Amino acid sequence: MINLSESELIIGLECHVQLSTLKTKLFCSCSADYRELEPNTVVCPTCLGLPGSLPVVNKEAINLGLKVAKALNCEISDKIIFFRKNYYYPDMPKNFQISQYDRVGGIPLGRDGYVNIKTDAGERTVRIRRIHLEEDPARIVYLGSISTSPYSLIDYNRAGVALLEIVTEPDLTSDEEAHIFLKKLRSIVEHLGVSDGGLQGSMRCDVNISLSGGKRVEIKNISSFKEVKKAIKYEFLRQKQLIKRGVIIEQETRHWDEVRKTTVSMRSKETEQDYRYFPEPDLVPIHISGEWINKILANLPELPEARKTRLMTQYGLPTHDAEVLTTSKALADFFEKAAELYKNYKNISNWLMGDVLRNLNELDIEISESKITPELLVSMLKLIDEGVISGKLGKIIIREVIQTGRDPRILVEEKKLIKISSEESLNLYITQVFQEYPGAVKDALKDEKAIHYLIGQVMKKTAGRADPDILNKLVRKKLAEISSSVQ
Amino acid sequence: MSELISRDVVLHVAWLARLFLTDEQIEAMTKQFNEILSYFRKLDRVDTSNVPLELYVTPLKDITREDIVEASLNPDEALKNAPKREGKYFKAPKMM
Ligand SMILES: [Zn+2]
Repeated sequence: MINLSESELIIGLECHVQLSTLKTKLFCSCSADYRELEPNTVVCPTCLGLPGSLPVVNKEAINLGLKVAKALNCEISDKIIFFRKNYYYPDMPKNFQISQYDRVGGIPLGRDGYVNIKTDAGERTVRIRRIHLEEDPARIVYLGSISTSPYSLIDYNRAGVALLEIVTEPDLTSDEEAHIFLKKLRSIVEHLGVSDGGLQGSMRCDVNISLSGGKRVEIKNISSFKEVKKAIKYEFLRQKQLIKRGVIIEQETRHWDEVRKTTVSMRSKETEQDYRYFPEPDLVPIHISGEWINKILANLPELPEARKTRLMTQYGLPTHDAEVLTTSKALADFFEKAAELYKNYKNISNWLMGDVLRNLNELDIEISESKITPELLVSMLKLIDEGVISGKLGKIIIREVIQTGRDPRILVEEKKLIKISSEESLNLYITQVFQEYPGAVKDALKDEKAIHYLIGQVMKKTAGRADPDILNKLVRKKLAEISSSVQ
Repeated sequence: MSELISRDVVLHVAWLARLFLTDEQIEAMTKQFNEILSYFRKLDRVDTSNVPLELYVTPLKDITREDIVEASLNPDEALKNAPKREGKYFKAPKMM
């Protein structure tokens, strides 16, 4: 987390969320499921921009856009108008992108919304300036790197896929806040069922940053929400260094280099007026009736805020638990599935929020990418409840379950991790330790610390498998025997 | 005829289209741009103060389609008119 006074850093975000649950592209009937396909296999005259082709808007894309606009508390326009954004680059074969515009008669799908986020400093409101629909550009492949490649190769499979652009006001003041906002946004769109953030490149972001009242710098091309935090941190430090040296920050566009984790200046590109926005004459206005909106509202699924409240009432979870679990739809789904199989809900929540999330963070993966399932977690919790393994061992094997998806019962057997609670076997270990550490035994007769030391040594010998309660009892019993025989 | 479009504007528009024009072409373009624009200037004489802003001239509205996949082009057909291709990709100059 960046440590600075609140007024120093001002951040606004421009998020691009792919409407990945759509079956077709925004303006043609090509499949929108373009990932892992051979190049140029889901293309047609419209998304290739061939002469004579005409776009027709996907009604479901508007439905999904309206859902998001409503969930982000936006005002909804009474009609949808598309504009052409003209620029000459091969990622858009028409030499323009069909988008929406908020000037010269244009209106975005939604505007003036807000999202509340919870930060360490308390609740914050992040205002949403606008939400609009636009088409995704093609993917360009370079030979080697972008700077050394002699030409570009283009795959138009992605061209025309529906994107929702969501623009915030500059209300964010740290990398951490931006991260929390993006997580919340992702949780909302996933709960709405409009996008799957787990898909590569389905959520991208441009960041506007200004520091200490300096000029605004835009960072483009951040291809996942995860990278945003790193990009902000880097850019903040870069600008801070420059300001320290007395350099004035110029308004510019920079590019996030994901490999080197730095921002790089982009040659001055088109300015806003160079895009020569004008109404797309091939598409007609779409009117959004009150009836349409009511239908959207009636079918709005449960959103993270509502789910949080429900988790508290239905499972008796504390506010904090419900909040953490609903930061991700996958996590909340995981919890509820596990809760169908196992009734100690708080125990599930503790493990998810604690060891599961910690391991996922360390492995830098999401729960959907891990191999653990609600069934496997519950199986492990039952092993602990039945006394087969200790909680401490559970913490060790959970990582392996996350990485391999193997049944904890089998892991425990294979690794001979079963808890030792037989007094007979434990006494064998205790006798050994007492012989090895006669000094500690002597101290232990009057010093509590030395008792813990002896217990620790037995634990070590059993590789953590000794039942702590029984071990504790037996060690004290043995010490008492020694003590009475000495007297 | 007063000049509406300067040589600099023509150069800028050419750059936006990534076109590199000779001096003669720039001169010819500047002339043509200005002729076209002054022709359309005739519209300025119409009083539109009582006409609301209208972006569309057709009576058509609310045309949408359902989210149903239809067949795409087969790749050979898709690439048939490409001036240059490499494998299954379109090949284009690198643009920075
Ligand atoms: Zn298409």
